[in-house]
Amino acid sequence: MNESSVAQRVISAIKTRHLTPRPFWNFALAEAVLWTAVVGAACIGALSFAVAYRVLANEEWDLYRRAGLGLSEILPVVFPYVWIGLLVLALAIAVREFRRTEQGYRFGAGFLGALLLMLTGVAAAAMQSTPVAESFEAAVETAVPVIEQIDALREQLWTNPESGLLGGTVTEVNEDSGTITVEDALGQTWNVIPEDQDLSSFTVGDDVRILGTLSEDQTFQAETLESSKDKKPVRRRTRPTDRGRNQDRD
Amino acid sequence: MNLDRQEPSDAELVAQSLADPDRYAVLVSRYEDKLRRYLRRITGLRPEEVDDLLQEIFLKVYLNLKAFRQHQSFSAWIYRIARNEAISEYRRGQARPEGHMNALDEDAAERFASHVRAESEAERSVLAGTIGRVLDRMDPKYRDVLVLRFLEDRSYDEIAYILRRPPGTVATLLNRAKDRFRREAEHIGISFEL
Repeated sequence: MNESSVAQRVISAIKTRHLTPRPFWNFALAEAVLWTAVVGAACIGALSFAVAYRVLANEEWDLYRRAGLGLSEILPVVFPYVWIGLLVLALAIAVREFRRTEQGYRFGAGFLGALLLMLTGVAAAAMQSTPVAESFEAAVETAVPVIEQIDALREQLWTNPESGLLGGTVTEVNEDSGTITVEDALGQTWNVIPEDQDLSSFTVGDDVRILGTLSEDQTFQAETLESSKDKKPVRRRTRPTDRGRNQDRD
Repeated sequence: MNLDRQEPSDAELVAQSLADPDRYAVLVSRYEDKLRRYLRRITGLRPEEVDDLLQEIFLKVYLNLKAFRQHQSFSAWIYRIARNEAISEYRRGQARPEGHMNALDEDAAERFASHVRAESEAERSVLAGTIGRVLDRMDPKYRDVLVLRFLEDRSYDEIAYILRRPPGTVATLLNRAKDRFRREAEHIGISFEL
């Protein structure tokens, strides 16, 4: 066969530039990197899904309902924006990287997104209460300060004694007088008088959520008093004065 | 002379090229004309520019020969690389996306026209003479798929591989492209079905 001018130029370039085909492991490594990215992103998606599920499941839906708050009032406050955002981002990365793999082009982005959402949903259900999900939540919360700001909105729901909602940490249990003292997220102390409730199950340091009425200055008549031991505590917001004190201590 | 002796397959030539770079010239010669025509159809580069681009493509293919898997179609694989390089060339501002179909050769036009259900033979031959003009008026994403299907005779699976699109999406894209082609042809007074 006569070689064309392009063939001659190509062979000549190969020889003069001493070109050799790239080794197979280069391509295998590139494919492995893509698959690692797919699996890594899917795992992050599943963990985000697990935390989002946990955040929503741990909300005091029953107390909200009894306080007369509707879903439209509660959901914008308690919706796990960061976790759902992270889930969407992780799934988008997983889909994009999967489609770059050898056979990935054969699947549509919509189909892959739906499939991954389903798989991460199943994985999330399995690990939502595992230490892995909790560690992931803690690590992300440390790395993303905006989560604390979003939590502050949630806290406002429970620092609302005028509307019958109070949350905070137990600082004193007085079984003789049948009262407990609670410090709310703003650092205010409340004398809580439970209605027919055994206080023996409460100890100092417990996080509680209370539904009731404000009877007089700093006193709250509790109709329902629940410990949130297994749930996300109502966090105490750091006040500027506290920060100053901490800095002084440092 | 052994008349039964078959030409080596693409996969065999790949294996031979890895052992002896001179054998790569056979592979280049086998695909040079096809790719030159394809590149002219999708880039609108001048002949000498197409040859420069071809050289770059064949060098890239050579460097990536070990990425080729025996179960793949070498033809689809090299078309994919060629198309990607043409897109890179376009992004670098070298290729022009318009006005390149006017140079459609007679064979290609006839081949394309053979897929057309025209109302008459006369109409089909009029269309054969104007196919390039109709394709030039089309959106590149539709033109691309029509070129691969009707001018390069690629199967749906091969088109899916070359464009990196799901096969189902390619089928939809092709149907839309046919519809657009029919409408563009109607603009110049020809009615037909692809």
